[in-house]
Amino acid sequence: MTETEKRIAAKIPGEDTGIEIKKSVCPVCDRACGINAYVKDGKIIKIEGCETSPGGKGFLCPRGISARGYIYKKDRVLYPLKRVGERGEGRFERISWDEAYRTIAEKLGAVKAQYGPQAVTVYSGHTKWYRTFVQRFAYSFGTPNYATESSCCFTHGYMAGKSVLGFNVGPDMKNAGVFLGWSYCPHRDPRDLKAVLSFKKNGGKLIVVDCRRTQAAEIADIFLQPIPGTDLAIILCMANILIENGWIDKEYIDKYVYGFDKFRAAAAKYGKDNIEALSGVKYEDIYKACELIHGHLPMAINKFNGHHVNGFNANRALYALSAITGCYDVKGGQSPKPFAFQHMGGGFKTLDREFCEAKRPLSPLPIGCDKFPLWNWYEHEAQAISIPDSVLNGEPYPTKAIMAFGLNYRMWPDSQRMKEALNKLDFFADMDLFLTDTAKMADIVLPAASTVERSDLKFYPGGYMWYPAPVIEPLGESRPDEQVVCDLAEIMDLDDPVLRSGVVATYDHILRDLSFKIKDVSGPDPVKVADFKPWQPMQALTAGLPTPTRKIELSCSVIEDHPEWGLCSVPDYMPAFDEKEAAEYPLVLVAGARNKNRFHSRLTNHPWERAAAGEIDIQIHPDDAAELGIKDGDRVVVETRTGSIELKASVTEVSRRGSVNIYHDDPSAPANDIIPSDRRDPYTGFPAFKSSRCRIRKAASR
Amino acid sequence: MKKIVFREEKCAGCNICSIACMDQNDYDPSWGTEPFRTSGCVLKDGKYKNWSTSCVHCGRCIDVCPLTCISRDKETGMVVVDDTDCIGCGACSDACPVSAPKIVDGKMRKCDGCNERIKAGMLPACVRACPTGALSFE
Repeated sequence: MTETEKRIAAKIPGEDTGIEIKKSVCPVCDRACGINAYVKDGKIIKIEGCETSPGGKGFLCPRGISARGYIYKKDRVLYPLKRVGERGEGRFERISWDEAYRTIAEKLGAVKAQYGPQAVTVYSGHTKWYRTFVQRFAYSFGTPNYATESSCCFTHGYMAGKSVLGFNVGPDMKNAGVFLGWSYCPHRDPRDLKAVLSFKKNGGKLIVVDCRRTQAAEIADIFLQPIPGTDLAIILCMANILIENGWIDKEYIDKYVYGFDKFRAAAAKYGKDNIEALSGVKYEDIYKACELIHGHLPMAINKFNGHHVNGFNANRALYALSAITGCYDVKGGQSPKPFAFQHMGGGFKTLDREFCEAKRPLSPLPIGCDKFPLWNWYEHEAQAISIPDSVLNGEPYPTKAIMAFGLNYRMWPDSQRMKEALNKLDFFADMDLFLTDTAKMADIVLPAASTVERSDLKFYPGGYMWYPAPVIEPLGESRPDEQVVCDLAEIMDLDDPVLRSGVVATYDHILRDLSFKIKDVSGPDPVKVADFKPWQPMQALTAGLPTPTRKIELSCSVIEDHPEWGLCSVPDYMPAFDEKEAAEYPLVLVAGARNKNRFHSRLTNHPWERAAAGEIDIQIHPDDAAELGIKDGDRVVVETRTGSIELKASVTEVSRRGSVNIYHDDPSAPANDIIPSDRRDPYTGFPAFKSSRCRIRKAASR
Repeated sequence: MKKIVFREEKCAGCNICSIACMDQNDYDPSWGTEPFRTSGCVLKDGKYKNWSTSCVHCGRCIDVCPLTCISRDKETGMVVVDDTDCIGCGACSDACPVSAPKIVDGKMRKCDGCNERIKAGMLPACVRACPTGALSFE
């Protein structure tokens, strides 16, 4: 080997090697961490964190560092495809973009003509950056049925924020005295880990509450490990202890809180007599946590995913803890984090919501909104969990076609039912990076370009914005999702001159009230924009919150005004499980606890994901395993009343006694296949991913 | 000469180092071996143990190679391999305390400490990617 050949093999950037470092953004999730892409001959050969980026500051997480393998994963869709085999079989024929567009226009048009526009659902999976375009497209087409995966993941917490505070909120950990880490696992992301270690070093106290003993338990001053799904009872018990001891801010409550007395009455039901039986956590331990909170205010609290039937109320109750201790909108507590664009905070406001709302059809109600009126009140989008009810049963009216961007049926509880619904559609088009099992169900598959192959608008803390240039050509004939939306608007002759004016013009339309346009943030690095206004403590409270009472609502006035909904205006606990199932299904199944090396289904079939994280397993506590005669590495069958799956058992103290964990979305052991879809949070429609009943037995030897 | 140093107390068991190594060295599971660097965390008896291991460049493999394929780079001190004459006998692997040498398609491959990166004034890929300071080059 010559010296240059050695340097090329070692991927050393330089003129002699023809390797250039180009700055871009990690394609794996929405946190937009900066990457240095090592590019040779138009191909990325290596990825590192970008030191000058406000996102990550030179470091990537375990998923981000896998980005090259993600971009070049073998199952990337490279061309528009037309299905020629049975749905799900995976036999496709390459077609032109023109034919794909014409087919979609014709099929969606035919459904609209025969059944009305509401029979078409326009759906977005994760990610979120293009959603404004997709939502506007749905509404301009004429359907109210814009649906997203957030209707079983993110939105319940956002709704809780809106109902209690009128905003999305976030913790000011840096200035906090105590941090309440609910389902908190900072070891997944170096940014979070660095923040908490620095917080601890400065004397901050950490309380971690998690049904799993993760690494966060090791750095916690107090660790509580409840039975999954029962955390609302613990939060109410905490509120009760704080109130009973007078460890609350009476003056703040009098001034800024609405519904305190009703909330106090609800919290008073959870205490010494019942909390251990309900939650599996000792009253004394919860009391100690409250003492720690009282002694070290202000308190910051992380946001968490309460994916169970008490999820909305658990989030509401956490915000209530912040309110009664006088910690909302104060330094070191919780601060308002209104979104600038999609679910991204910016410290200023774009017109993305107005852009979508301007075209929203007001009737009929989107699917699912009849069953979940509070969802309808705050979101007025389709609750996508109702898609199977609509397609299979015609409730409240039939869905005949879906135009999807990144749909994954395995994300939904009782996934096979969602799959069955897709199978019954008259027409299904799906745009995706990868030929997933869901894409294989589609009549037309459109190839999506990944972040490094296109541009889109990124938001960073502190008012930094970026519209990065692509660092490589799109793979195959893949295109950016928003370009496809704008193209379809043109081809379908929609009454939407903005979308039809193209991608950059549409962005500029949404930014028109701000001081910058897309071209101003298209340079080599993120730039700070003049519109950014940093948070000023007490400003939101003094001005009055965007809730109906202008106060922090511990009793939701919207629910109070609608007794016909049958919902409780304060966050009261309902039984997490169906007790009738307890004898037959003695264990609690948690599907979807996060994993360092996995990000939903994004890294499925990634060659390095398995090498780093091993195969999908079910985590069983050693005592449960011993009782069941299961050894580490055994194959086991997990059964719920919805179905069964077989997978490897890992015997580990991560799981609480009596509960088991399976990672979600993986085709080798699809946990959501066996999560019942009919147990739902009545406030939001969310399913009980984190608290369903199951039983386990050793698999018959093969 | 600088070495790659691992501090267990700073390690989060996050696997970033081993994936950065896979990216640097184009690791493919079809090699049928482990990647050059492995890492992780395990919970036992109520305590987490985090680790990250790779070739420690001790040089025991140098002497046992029958075809003198392995040598120590004079400039960097890293133990490197020129596999031109390698017959894949595995003597190096047998002599290694941490099974660093892997036989892939009949040839030995192992961590070379990112020798060329060091010569170019860069950090080894694993050290560059480690966010907690558990891996350093000093």
